[in-house]
Amino acid sequence: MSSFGIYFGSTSTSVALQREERCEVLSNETGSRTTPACVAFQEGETLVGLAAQQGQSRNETNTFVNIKQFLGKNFPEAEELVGKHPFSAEEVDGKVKFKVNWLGKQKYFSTVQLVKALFQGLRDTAMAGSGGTGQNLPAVITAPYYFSDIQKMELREAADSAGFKVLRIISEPGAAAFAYGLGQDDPTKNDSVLVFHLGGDSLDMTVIQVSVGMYQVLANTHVFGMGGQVIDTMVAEYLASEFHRTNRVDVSGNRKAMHKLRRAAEEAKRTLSTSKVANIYVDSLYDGMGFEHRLGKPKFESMCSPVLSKCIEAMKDVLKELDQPVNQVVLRGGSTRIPLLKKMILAALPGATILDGLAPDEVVAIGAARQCSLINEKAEFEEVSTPFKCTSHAIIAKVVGESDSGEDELVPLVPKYVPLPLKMSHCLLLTKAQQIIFHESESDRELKNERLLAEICTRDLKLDCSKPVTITCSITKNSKVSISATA
Amino acid sequence: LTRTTGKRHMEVHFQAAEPVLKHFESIGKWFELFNQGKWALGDEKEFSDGKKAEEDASDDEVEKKDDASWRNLALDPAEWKSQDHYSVMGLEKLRYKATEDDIKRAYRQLVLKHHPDKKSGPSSQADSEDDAYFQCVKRAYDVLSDPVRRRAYDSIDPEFDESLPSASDITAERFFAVLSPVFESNARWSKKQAVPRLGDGDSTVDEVNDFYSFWYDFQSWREFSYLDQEDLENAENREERRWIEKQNKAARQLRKKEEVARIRTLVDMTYGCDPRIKKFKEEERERKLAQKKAKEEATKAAAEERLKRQKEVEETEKKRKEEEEARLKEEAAAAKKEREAKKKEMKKERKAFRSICQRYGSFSSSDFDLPQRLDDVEHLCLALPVDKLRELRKSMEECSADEGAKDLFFAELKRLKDIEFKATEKDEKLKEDGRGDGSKAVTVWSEEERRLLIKAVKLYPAGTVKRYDVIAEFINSHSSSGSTKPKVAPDIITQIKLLQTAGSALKDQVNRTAFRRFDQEHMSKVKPTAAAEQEPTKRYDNQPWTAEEQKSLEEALKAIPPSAPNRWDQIAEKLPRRSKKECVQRCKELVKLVQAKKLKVSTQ
Repeated sequence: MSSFGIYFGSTSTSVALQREERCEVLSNETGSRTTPACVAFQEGETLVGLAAQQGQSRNETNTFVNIKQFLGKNFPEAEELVGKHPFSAEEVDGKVKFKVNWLGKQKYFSTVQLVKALFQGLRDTAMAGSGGTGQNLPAVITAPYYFSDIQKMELREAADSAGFKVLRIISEPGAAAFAYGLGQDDPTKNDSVLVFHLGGDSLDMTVIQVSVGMYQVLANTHVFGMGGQVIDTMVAEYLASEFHRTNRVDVSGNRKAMHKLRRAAEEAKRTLSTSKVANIYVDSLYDGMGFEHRLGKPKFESMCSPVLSKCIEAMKDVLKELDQPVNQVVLRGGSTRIPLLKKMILAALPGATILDGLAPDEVVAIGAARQCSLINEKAEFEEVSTPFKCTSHAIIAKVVGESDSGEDELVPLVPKYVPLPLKMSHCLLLTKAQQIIFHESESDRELKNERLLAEICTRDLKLDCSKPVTITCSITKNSKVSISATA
Repeated sequence: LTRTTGKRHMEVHFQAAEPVLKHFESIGKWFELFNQGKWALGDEKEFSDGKKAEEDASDDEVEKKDDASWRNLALDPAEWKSQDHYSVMGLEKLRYKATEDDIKRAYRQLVLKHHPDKKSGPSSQADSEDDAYFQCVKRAYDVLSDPVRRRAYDSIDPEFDESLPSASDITAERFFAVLSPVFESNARWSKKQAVPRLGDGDSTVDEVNDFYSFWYDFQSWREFSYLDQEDLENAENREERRWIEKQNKAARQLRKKEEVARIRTLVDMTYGCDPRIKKFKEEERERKLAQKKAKEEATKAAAEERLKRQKEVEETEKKRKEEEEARLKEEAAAAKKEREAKKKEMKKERKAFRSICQRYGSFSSSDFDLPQRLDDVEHLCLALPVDKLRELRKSMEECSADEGAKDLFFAELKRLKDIEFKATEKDEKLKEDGRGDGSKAVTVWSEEERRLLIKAVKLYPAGTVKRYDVIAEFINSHSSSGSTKPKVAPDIITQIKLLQTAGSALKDQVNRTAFRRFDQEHMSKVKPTAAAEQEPTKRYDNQPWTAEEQKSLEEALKAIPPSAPNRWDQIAEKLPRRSKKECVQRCKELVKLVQAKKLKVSTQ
């Protein structure tokens, strides 16, 4: 049984396949594991991915990028976004329609149709990778945390129509955290995870509290127009100025030339993540003149450090409101490959561990595929996110009396914010003359504004001191607690 | 608040605070469980603390599992000794870790199920099997409930892997992976618990040392009484029992020895292969090397220092020696100078004395005693020390009259002679004693002997082998006065020197006296013969050269150059009265004459 996870980003997409215990990111027909989120229409043909991206400079008006941002948007919102791009859109029947020159004729495509084209490309990849055929490939799709229900609905619609069976849409940061298996093996572990996303042109910061294996988003920020593309443009402008300096020709006004430079800059940026110097060659950049430049890492870092420091500022803003320090940082998005960024994050969060073992632009797809394999298709699930009833306080047992350490022992039984109803068990080693006093506390680990609930005296139990006592705590949806101790 | 109290179970119920609403990500297996409603139902093992829950559940498991598995054990109560008691009791998981309580509980449960008394209804095949099983259970419980017997059984736990890894398995990189489990499994035999672990590559020296010292002194509680061949209880009498005991003891000891050897082999092998030991040894060696090097350097430096000091000492010594030498040299030079000055003074004094003596004609009254006087003068010169000599000379100079000087001279001479005489007497005496030294005695020379000496000196010119010995021999053999002491080489030398210093006067004197004496002795009888002989002695060739002849010779010498052949023949032809030989002789005489004249002119 194959399960797919799809990451649908604004600049790139990827699809992962989970088969039994193994999870792999599938490579597309060009051998790349990420596909540019780019659709183009050329001479009656629909091009997706790299082919569309490569033709962008010649076919600007018919090439669509950043389509994800148009999902679920009404026309006024979309129009504003379209203004930044060379393609154009119109309002047809109150919906956003993109204008396409289809064999000399005007054709209109809706956002969903464009996204569908992208998903069709991903489906081809998925089918090639899994060896499967036919429709209804079970998949979990990721969407940004801020996506509204309408946006998710449109996404689902597009994916469904492209031949996937969307089991669930999960949030991207959650998928990233899940890809690293946080909180899965040991549910008693409490983690505070920051998912740091620096993508093509968006910056997302999400803090997830992992408690009893459940992921709860504590904070989230989203900044548009920040990311790899900004850096690419900056580097491209620098290259243009270099070209101007050496050849006395200003190409900054030339769209085609700038496009070429931007591609070259992006390539150089990737190179500089691993090497110290990037050699940039652009053939016939302008008027038959080629361009050649050696970009050193220090120069590059000095160029992108303002952008990155802005990211770090945003990160600090998010973390400021939290009362708990972050102990794990998950990196996602291609731009987090920049080594300088990692250094800056580590400097800002000294106590945290950076999780970057998985490729940052694949980690979301992996998490989604894992989730897909977990979902039992028969189990009902309400997509519309409704809040769960949770415990508002933690329940902590205090063991009083003779103990080895001589001190009262605190045993957290139920942490706070655990969905109801629940049933949890603990094993305690007790002696005959001890009391277990149960408290409600505002803190998970210590007694804070506690309220006495009940107590159990071990004298009443027929104890076998060498055996642990099992204490089971069950709470109903109406907050009715029953604690039982079994010797 | 409600409280229900049971025997082993207790429950409390209460109302907790109002729930809050929270959003969760629909992600993860816990969410799935929750979503499927499984979590709330409480699959409690999932939430408990893992291991403890398992242990907790073991009670139930034992019961459940037992029922299914005991039949597979193929048990025979007769073979109880070889059966695995833990499996029989359903404690194969816990084995030696099972507490007494575990065992008791397991036994009770089994009793409840399998005790024949608990059975009802007719017996069947299954029942007999069950009975057999119960027999085994009983046996097992007998063993396991008795601590001593249990220990004996645990000691030979069939599940225990006694094998040791072979040396080839232990490579440097797999050292810890291979050996750690072996040590951990063997640690259960240790009397002392809290067995140190093998550790890892980063263990400290102390940790490693602790580990090896523990394992080298490993105290095992393992014993092998369970394997005893014969049972004591089967013995019929005391002797047999003793014999069995002996046999068993020997077997146990052998096994124990083997066990100790096994542990020892393991530890030895581990020690031999331990990369940490190698590392520590290497470090130790390096440290020692460094120490040694430092020491060597120190000794080297010390040696150099000593050498330097020695050199300094030597140099000062050398300097001192040089100074000493210079001083000695100076002193020697000064002494030499002094000596020379003394000698010079002596010489001068002697010369002055001789000259003054000569002035008085050596105080000789006649020609005859002149040599004797001369001899005396010389004798005084040589014998008297310088101051005495000077004194004598001065007093002699002061004497205005010849006689005064003469008296002084003779007085002195007499005194000296007396002294000498005494000395010779003494010498004589010494000689008689066989210890005298004849060479020291002043020898007296007679007239005849002096003549003989002169003759001998001429006869044996310088260069003759042992000249003075030969001269002395000659004198001794020819001397007529046999009474006098025979002459020896040193006497000859002093006499010759004396003659030389005395000058030609003495020699002439000697010759003359000799001649005169000869005359006196032979005049009377030789006179006529001498007159007769005078005629033939007038030789032709001794004809004196006339002036004419002389002139013609000179002319001839001038006319005929020395290079001409037969020069002297031609010269002789010019002179009719002369032969060639005469010419040559005359010429030589002339040359001598000319030369003497020239010498005379130059000295003047």
